[in-house]
Amino acid sequence: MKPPRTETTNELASGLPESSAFIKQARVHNVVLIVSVLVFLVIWASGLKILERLGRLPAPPITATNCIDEKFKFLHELDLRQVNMLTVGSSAAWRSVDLRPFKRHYGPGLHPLNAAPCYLRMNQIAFLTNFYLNHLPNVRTVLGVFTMRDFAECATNPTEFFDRHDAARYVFDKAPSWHLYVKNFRPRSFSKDVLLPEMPIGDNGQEALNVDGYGWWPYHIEPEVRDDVIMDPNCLRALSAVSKNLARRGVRFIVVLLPPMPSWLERYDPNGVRDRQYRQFVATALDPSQAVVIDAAKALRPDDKYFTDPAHIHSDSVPSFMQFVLVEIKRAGVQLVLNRAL
Amino acid sequence: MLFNSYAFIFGFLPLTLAVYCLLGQMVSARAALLWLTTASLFFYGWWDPAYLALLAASILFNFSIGLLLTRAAQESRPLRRPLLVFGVMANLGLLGYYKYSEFFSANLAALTGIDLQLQAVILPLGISFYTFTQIAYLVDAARGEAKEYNPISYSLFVTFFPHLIAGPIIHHRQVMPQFSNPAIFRFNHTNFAVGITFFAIGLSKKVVFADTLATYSSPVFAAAADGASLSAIEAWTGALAYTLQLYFDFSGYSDMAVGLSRMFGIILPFNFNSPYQAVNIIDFWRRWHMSLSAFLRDYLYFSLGGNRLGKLRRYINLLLTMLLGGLWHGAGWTFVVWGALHGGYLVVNHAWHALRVQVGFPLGSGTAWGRGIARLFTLLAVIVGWVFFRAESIDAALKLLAAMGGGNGLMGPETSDLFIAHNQKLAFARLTAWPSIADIAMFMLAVDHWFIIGGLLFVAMFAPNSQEWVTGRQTDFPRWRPSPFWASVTAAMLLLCVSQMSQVSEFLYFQF
Repeated sequence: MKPPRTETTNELASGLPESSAFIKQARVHNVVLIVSVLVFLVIWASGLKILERLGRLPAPPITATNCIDEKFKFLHELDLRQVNMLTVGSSAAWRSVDLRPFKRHYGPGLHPLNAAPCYLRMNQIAFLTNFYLNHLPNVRTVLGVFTMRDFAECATNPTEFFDRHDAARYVFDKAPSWHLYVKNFRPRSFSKDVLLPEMPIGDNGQEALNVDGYGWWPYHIEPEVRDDVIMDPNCLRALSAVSKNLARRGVRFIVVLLPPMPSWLERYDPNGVRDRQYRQFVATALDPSQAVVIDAAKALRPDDKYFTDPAHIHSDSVPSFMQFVLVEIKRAGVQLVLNRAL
Repeated sequence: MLFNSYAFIFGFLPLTLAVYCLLGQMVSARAALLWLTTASLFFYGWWDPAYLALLAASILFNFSIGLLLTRAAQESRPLRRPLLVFGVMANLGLLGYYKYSEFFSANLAALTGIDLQLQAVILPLGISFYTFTQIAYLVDAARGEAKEYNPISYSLFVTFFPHLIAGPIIHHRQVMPQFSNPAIFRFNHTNFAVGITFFAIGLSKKVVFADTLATYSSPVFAAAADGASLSAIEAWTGALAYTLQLYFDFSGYSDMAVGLSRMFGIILPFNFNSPYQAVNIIDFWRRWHMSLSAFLRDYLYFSLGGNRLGKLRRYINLLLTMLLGGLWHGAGWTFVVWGALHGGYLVVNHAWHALRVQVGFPLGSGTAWGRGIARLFTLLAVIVGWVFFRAESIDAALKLLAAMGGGNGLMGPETSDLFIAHNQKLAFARLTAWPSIADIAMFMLAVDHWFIIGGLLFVAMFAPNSQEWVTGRQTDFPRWRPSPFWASVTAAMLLLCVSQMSQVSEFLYFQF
């Protein structure tokens, strides 16, 4: 019979025995730990592959926000080298700008791209615009389509909302994306996107992602008035900064302001004072040397059916809206710089 | 460098540990200690190399004064007291300059109109921790309770990276003797297994739980600061989320510190012991930030006279200790109020204990129900304190407390806006009819924060803590053992954490 073991000082401090059996168990533990890490990575990679085969693999989580990541995935799959006209903004731009009329009008020298994702505020739009321009040297025209909502909550929303290096490698260098599924894995959004793959955007949980070749995603739901919007001066400063930046780069900045939705105005701004102020503030925040403002409120008097909500116009209204923008660009005397035919 | 960063986990830690073990086994213990000190300085300098000089000067100064004090104590020289006062004042002066000069100047200007024209200074990382660590050493040296240490060991004692920037506040008697144990320089499988498990637990607490909770608490406190009229549900969601966030964040950091240190063979003291399971405030302070509590007790409360000078003086000492403890956490009136509140709680608690004994209900004689109620009341008092601790201003804290008390109703018209997105509201509306899977999923996503907060509150109030789970002797729950099963669990935890670190967030306690 073995004598009872007495604990050493170190054992008392650590609360663990120091027998050779325990040390052996610890050695096995450490080996299994390392092997487990490798095994889990292999299982994870296999799982991603299966989801891809099933068509349920979400876009690589650069922001872990599906509609933004889906947009990056769309850009990843395109050849972006020729792009010389870029649409930026939030979902207001993504859902309102159909660039096919531009392509038809200007011909093969124009390579337009609607690169706007969703949810963004002006500080984030400015960040994203700079990011795009750093990697798209041929862009000579930026079309920004904005609504009052884009100018709210800039102080509370983080400006750098994604990792530039990760996004650049994926979108522009066409690098593989498997590591992003490990590095930026968010169980909540990942499982939601796997289980409900036709729910790629928060604005309408039922609508499937359906983007045309130039990046437009049509929106067609019944109009809703939604919430009030309070402008944030930080957003105007962000617009001013991006405008100056574009001017410094010699890029023409065409800013289009969506018209107000009548029912929204009636509910939250009956005299239209805030709406007029917003349009005036935007116009004065822009660099006059390279920026042109097209204020749709001055020429269009749409009814509620023109919109899906105050920040988006209905897909049926988009053709007339795009026609209006084209005419106004010509009226303002803006010449778009086109690529020479090869 | 943050523990929850790729640079630390995939670069600094493996390299430092490997070289430390190699030097310890193949060269000498001295070389390993020197390497660990150098690596710790590099770890500190990663944040801002400019403040390395300040840290080095602080170490050099305190080591020299400590040496003089130790010798003076051995020879009972009268020089001891003035030297100690000089040493302590120099440390407090440094801390005061970096941490409190702006606060002092702003309040002086508000009261008298005198503008000292002080420029805002950046608070050097970990200055509160390394200053207190060294003050304790000076006091012990003057009392004749410290040895003459060699400069490399002393430098490592102060700079050892696991505790350097956010504690625990270590005591020289706990750590210095370990540096002369040759066993710590050999790679030890038990230490590594225990260390990596503590590290994985701590990292999970930080990046999986605390960072998620922050997304619930921050909008509420920001709204309170903006003067928004919060409903009781929103206010409670924010206050509870912050209560848990702070615990998981700070105890997570402490677990990581204990685990990392253990990988190097050095045992650090535990800093938390299930504080939200405390049955009164005295108990709470024995469980929350234990190394700070011990420091305040041993070097402030006892120095003020403790309980040796009568009941009234004891209560005044308690109040003063907690007021200064509050101020240690930050230069702001909200911290002062938080400290005063806890000082008041302690006074009431001690008076209550005295009364109980007087009327014949000795301590520890309560029922399980009684203890449950006591635990709940203690937590409530602590939550009220955390509201001041986190709020932007006293005004914002009072507004939030009023909202928690139902001042703006249980659910205001804006209740759903802070936490529930527009599309989720639409899904709510559809739930009354035949909901689709998408609607049910939306509903679950809209209310998941309540499940998360509730679940973590249960864990904090009833589950065993990290040290009970890993090294404790209780057997009424599935305890960790060095086995293939727990190795796989730890591996999964580590991978999950690595996948959550892409937006590196600072530990809350760095600002203190």
